[in-house]
Amino acid sequence: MINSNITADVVEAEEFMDMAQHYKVMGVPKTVINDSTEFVGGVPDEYFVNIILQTLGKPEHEFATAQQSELAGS
Amino acid sequence: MPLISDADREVLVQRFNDRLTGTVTIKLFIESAARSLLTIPGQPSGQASGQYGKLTKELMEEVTDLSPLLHLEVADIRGDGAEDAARLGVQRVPAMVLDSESGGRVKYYGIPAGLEFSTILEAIEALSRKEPSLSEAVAKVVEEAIQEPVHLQVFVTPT
Repeated sequence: MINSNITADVVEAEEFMDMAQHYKVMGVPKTVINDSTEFVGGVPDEYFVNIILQTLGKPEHEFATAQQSELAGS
Repeated sequence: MPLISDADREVLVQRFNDRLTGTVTIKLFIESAARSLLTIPGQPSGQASGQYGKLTKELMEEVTDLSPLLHLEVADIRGDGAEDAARLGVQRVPAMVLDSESGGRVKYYGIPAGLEFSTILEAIEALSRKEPSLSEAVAKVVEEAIQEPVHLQVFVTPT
């Protein structure tokens, strides 16, 4: 929605067993980025973005912690 | 018998009334029953995928009936929808393309049943409001730092 370079597919693993097997899905939710990086489970958005940046070979973004941004805002 | 109970229907109508602001067109690709008797090795049996397609169609018809802002277009991947499916990169059915206007960047393969029903509702609502659920800081990085194609595949189960 924010960036048109990004496409997302949700795949129901039980119906598409062949895909689930191809990507060795052992647990859900499992996320695969550009067919190369993968992780299982839910992660915070900040972490997710950094995994994408890593996959693209870009430097990670340092997000301010909630506490820091509160301080900055005050 | 409808898949969504009367009580749930009432809740959903209210929820859509409160949360939807723009129209959302959902393009659903299925395989027509006659053809789906074919079984392709390594693929779910044609009959099974036809059955899932039928159920997904029923479910999404019921959902899109609950708000005038929601539209459902159903097409046969081997028939009237073949060209569209190729353009949007859909190779498997049932498949739903949620933002077909902007090139189909969000796709859902399979039936959005069980827990995944809320996933599809949230996706519909986010698209309708054009509001991502990300924080400002994260949205900014996503917007600015990514210039190359990123393809995300998320595997889920209905339970």
